[in-house]
Order: sequence, then structure tokens, then C-alpha cells
Amino acid sequence: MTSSRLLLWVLVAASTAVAQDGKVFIDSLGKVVDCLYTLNNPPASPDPNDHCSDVQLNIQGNVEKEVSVLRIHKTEFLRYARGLSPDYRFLEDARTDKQIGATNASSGSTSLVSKGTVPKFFGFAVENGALTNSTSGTSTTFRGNLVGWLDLVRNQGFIESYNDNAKVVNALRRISYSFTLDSSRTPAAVQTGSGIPTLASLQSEIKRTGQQLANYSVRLAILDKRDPRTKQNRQGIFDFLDKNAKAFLDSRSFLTDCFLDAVFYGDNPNLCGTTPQGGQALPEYYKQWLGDTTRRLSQGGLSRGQIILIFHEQVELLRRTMVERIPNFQSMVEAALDAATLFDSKRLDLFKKMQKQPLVSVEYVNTRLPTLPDLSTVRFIAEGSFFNAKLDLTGNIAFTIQNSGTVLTPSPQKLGGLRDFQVAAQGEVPLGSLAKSIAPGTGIGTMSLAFAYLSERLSDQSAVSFAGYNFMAEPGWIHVGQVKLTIPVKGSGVKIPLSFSVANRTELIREKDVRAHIGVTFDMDALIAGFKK
Amino acid sequence: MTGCTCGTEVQERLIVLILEGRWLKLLKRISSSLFQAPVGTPVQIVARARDNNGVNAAAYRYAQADLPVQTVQGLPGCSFTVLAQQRAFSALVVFDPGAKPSARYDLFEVDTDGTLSDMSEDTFPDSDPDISFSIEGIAAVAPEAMASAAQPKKAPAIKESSAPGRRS
Repeated sequence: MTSSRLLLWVLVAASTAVAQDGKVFIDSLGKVVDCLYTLNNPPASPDPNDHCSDVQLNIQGNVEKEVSVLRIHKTEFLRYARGLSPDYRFLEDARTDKQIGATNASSGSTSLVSKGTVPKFFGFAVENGALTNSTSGTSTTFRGNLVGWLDLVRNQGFIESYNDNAKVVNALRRISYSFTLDSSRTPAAVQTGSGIPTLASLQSEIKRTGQQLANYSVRLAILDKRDPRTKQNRQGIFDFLDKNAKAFLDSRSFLTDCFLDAVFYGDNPNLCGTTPQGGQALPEYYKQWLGDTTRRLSQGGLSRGQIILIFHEQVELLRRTMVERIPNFQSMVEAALDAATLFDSKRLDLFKKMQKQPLVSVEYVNTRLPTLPDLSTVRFIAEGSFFNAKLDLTGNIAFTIQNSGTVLTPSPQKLGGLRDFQVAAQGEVPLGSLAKSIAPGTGIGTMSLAFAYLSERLSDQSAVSFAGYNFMAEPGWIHVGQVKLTIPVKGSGVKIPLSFSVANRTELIREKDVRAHIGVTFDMDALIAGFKK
Repeated sequence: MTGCTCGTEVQERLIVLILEGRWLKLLKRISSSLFQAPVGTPVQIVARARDNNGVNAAAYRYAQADLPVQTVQGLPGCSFTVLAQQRAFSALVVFDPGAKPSARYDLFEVDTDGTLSDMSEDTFPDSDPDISFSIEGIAAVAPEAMASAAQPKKAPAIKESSAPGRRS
């Protein structure tokens, strides 16, 4: 290799290393850079959810708080020293206990059994198929929690705040809702001769669109052992801290104790190193570094580029000092990051197990039929987890009341009273370990496989609507078995349920029925968790 | 009078001031990573969570000693006596992974009259679960001089800030 080629290779390698170093810096401490930019260039109307400015402090105070990497940015600093970036969306993706799509009465549902949990914030599902209905359809379900909306509204600054633990808020937290639109009931476009819609045609259009609402539901959690506020769960969290705090705090002692504790620094040269001739003790050095960094970054009006340049330079200065002064610095960085990952995975495991505790809900579903009186279903849902959270079992008991009305085919008959009674159960297993299911990454996440069974007893009050005609269904039992594979797309909140069901008959036709179903569900909780990180 | 009086004598005189309601805030904030208090000052710190699905749990460490967690005004807290020189303090908290994006923990010092003083020490789900800073035990100045120098005789009912615009 000639010397000029060698020089070129070195330059390319060096520039790649600098770019890589800059990327690691932004990946690790980019959030702090964002805050420093906001503090240097305060917006005209401050964001009420701003995590950067403390009104009790001036710009120097706020900048100093942000750049103090050993205060609450140790992990980011450690990641800078090694290069990682975490993501919590995978935890929400890994959950198999949420009902997002429609219940089994809807024509497009892929769920034979209703799950106990619903998204905290908001979720929606588009599904195609049918389970006990005679015709397949495509339904879109929106599902959420009342407090979830309150949170989102508050986070937008429309309302100031509410007490998270207030009795009213706790009561609202137990209530969720859903509404399902059936796109097969698409209204025809209304045309007028002039091309301009009249008031009457608009009213008609609105009425037809309203007919797309296939059902709506309200759900109340009557026994919720998953709430972290219960005495047992509170104790579990303190036990978790008792067992894991020491190892976690010890692992970062080379940062906190060596740099923030003058006595520890002096007493532990093996861990913290010794003060070089003419140098400063690490606690003194850190004080000075913090002062210098704050002064350089609190001038006001700094551009993002300037902030990155200055802050990167200062952080790199601190890192180099650590490398020079602290014996085995790199191995301690590794150990501290491993301890942080372990602490975090145990924390996630704790809350995941909490979410697997028994839950009993009652749900009211109003099903709107285009040519028949509405149906009112009351469903009891019980859910629990067994075999160390490896098997999720859900049971449903439901009965449906046919609201009063008249059906004309095959002969005029008055309707009203108990329409059907249902019992259903489902067992679901993740096809991978918990660690794998919450591990970061891209592509397909850990799939889950579910087996479900539903028995429905139709009474002589069961009317069915088909092709614009109403029929009386033949009383008797419908038995449906289902196998369902749910494929999550990591980090996106999106899941694709694929299911296959076999029924001895449908509500309309007394013949064996085999169907396939597909859907796409979206859980906003997963994305919200991603924004938080 | 600014001479150094150390040990039990200082503690006794502090206690007298505390009982007389003349000594309120014990830690003086120098920076986000440094607080000061006279050696021997008894300090109580609590952690308060917001928007964290009702989870409010913390563990504390001061000068490498793991402190027992006490319930103070319904919040997880700790008590310790300020030691000489600059010593490290850490509070380790737990965030519910399903909590709202606005979840946070704030540390408060319990003043001698029982009110909570916001220490402007906070952490969020996207930051470290442990808040770390130093507390420097300074040579104890005569308590009467310090008390009359800075602190108001009556504390406002709530000294914590929860106004919008503050970290929320």
C-alpha cells in the first residue's frame, strides 16, 4: 500500500469514526441536546409538557441541571461510552392480553373470545371474516379507555391537570368503550341534478353513515388485581426495590461515589483511581467540569449545531478523564450497563406479571342491525395467567336479549326476550420466551398461538338479517372452534391476527362452516411507550 | 457569632430552633448536583410520583449506606444526619412501564414545620431511575445566625411548585 493510499484510508477511517461517534452521541444524549436547544431558544408559547425547564430556576440553573450527566443521565452517558439505544415499545407489543378488535357478534371479528384488557389510550382494528354470522364482513373497531382520552387531552394542554389517584379518576379508569363500524353497510353516494347536495340529501347521507355503526360497547372492570395501587402490588414493588436496588446502585458507584463523594473518592483508590500530581480530586474536577459546561451552554440563542459541538466536546472531555483516571473504566461501563439492563428487565417482568393477575369485567354490547331491532348483550369476562405467565386463559359467559320488534319472514312474528346464551374459553401461549418478546429489534415479534371454543344456544327468539330479508333462525346449539395466530410487528403497535374457525352451523344455515379470518390491529399504547423513551 | 460549634451541641441547638419554628429548610441548594447543610443536621427527603399509575416507590442511599424507607406523609421517604464533607446521595425510583408519558418523580425535603419543599430534583421514565447528587456537610455556623439570616419565620402552606410550565 502506498503512503498516499494509507493516508487516505486513515482519513476515511477517522472520518467514519468521528461520524459514528457523533451518531452515538446523538443517539445517547440527543434528548439532552433537544432540551438545551429549547432552553437556549425558548418558544413563545411554552409546551406544558416540557421536560426541560423548571420555572423555579433560571437558564443557568436549568442548563446546569440538564448537563449534569451524573444526576439523571448516567445511563445515557454510559451508552455514549459504549453505544446503545433502548426502546420500550417492545414491551407493549409483547402483550397478549388486550382486546382491540370487535367481539364475536360482529361480522368482521377475528376474536371468538373477548380478552380482559383493553388499550389504555386508544386502539383500532380492521378485521375481515365472520364467526357465528352467516356472512363475512369487514369491520373497523375503535377501542379505548375514558381516562386515556383525558390524558391525551391534558397532554395537549387543553386541560391543566387532575389528580391521578382521585377516586373519580380511579373509577373512570375501570371503564372502557368501543364502537365498531361495518363497512359492508356503505351508504350510496347521494347525487342531485345540479351536483350540489341539498339539505335533505345531506341529512339522508348522515343517516345512512350512522347505519354503519354495527355496535358499541361499554366495559367495567369489576375485579382488577392488575392495578399497581393494590396493597399486594405495592408490596411487590417495594420487594423488587429491596432485592435489586443495591446491585443497581453498586454498579454505578464508580460514577456516583467517585465523582460525588469526596470521602469515598479518598478512601477507594482501587475503584476511583488516585489524584495525579497537580491534578484535582474527581469530585472537585466534576464540579469544575459542570461549571464550565453550564457556562458554555447557557449563553442563550445557541443553535442546535453549536450545542451539539460544545456539549459533545465537554462530554468527551469527561469521558476521557474517566478513561485516564478510573482503573478498568470500560469494563465497569459494561458492568453498569448490564446491571441497568438487568434492573430494567426485572422491572418490566414485575409489571408484566402484575398484568397477568386475575381480571373480571362485565361488558354491555349494543348490536345495531339494519332491518331488525337492536340486540343487547351482557358479557362477563374473566382472565388469568398460569404456569408462570406462559398460558393466558380467558373465559366468557354472555347472554343476548333481542329487543322487541316484528320479523316478517318466514311468517310475521313478534320478537323480544332472550335470544341466545354463550359460553366461550380461550388459551393463548406466546411462541417465545418473555425475554425474547420484550427484546428490542425490528421485523416480526414473538407470535402467539390461541385455541378458542364457543358454544352458543339460540332460542326461538333468534332473528337473522340476510340480503335485506329477515329470517327466524332455527333454535339449537352452535359450536365453533378456532385456532388463531397473532403476528406482532415489533415497535409499531401493529398486530396481524390470522385465524381459522370451524363451526357445526351458522345462525342462518344448519350446515358445517369453515372460515379463515384476517385482521390488522393497532395499539396506540405501544407508540406512546415509544415516545416516552 | 460565626464560630464553629460541632457535634451534639449543634444538634441540640438546632432542635431548639426547630421546636421554636425558627428553622425551616435544612438543605441549601447550591446546584443541581450539590446541596449544603451544617454537619449534624437531621434531613428528611421524600419522593412523590405523578401520573405513574399509582406507583410511588423509592429506595435511598446516603454516604454508601442504604437507608431504611419510611412512610412520611404517605410518601416513601428517608431520614439521615448530614455528615462532614461532600457525600453522595441517591434516590432510586420505579416507573410503571404502562404509565402516562407525563410520569415523573420529584424529590421533596420535609421542612421542620412539615411542609414539603421542592428540591428541583426530578426524573422521568426516559431518564435514569436514580437521582444522584452530593450533600456537603459544612462547618456548623451558630444556628441562630443562620436562622435569622435567611429563613422566613412562617412557611407558606405549600412550597412545592406544580404550576404548568414547570416540569410536568
